[in-house]
Amino acid sequence: MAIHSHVLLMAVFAVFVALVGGMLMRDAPREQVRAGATVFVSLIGVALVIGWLLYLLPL
Amino acid sequence: MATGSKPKPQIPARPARPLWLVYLVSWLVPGGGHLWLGRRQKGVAFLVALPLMFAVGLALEGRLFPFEWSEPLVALAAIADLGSGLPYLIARMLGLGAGLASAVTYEYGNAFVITAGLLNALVIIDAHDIALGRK
Repeated sequence: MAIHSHVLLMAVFAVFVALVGGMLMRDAPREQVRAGATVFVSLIGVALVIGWLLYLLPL
Repeated sequence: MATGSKPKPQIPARPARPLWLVYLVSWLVPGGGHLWLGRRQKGVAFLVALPLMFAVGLALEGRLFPFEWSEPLVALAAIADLGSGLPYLIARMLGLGAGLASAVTYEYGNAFVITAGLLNALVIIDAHDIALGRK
């Protein structure tokens, strides 16, 4: 597959997990969208925070 | 002393479909259990998302791990891979999922394939709850 961008792959991964997770966590469509969005933002946000923390660590 | 009638404990209704069959259908066809139980929206979403996630993982050079019990982490990954059901079996039959450890996307591919199987395990549990009338 031609995608080599780690950020893009992480986002695609987060989309899949958020879609399935959101649908599993709630039953009403509006709540599913909200739960999925929360999962997506959390995954991306935590990954970026951890990424920056690791970047600041001396090798 | 008041002798009001106590509420009877809730006895779960007998599921309309045999649970083992719900598990089997849910495992083999991601979302199939939900479709069978009348949850069309969820079923279609799982049916599209999980096999697609599995396929993307293979396209990213992810590996279908062997059941090597001497290597516990490899065996656990193999169990997680197996969770995808029919897509896993088809990929095995076609000889896919050899994995290319030198590929940049190898670890991502593994993450996609393993997570697809684990998410399908959660989908099976959700189908179980629906079959028992808890949802």
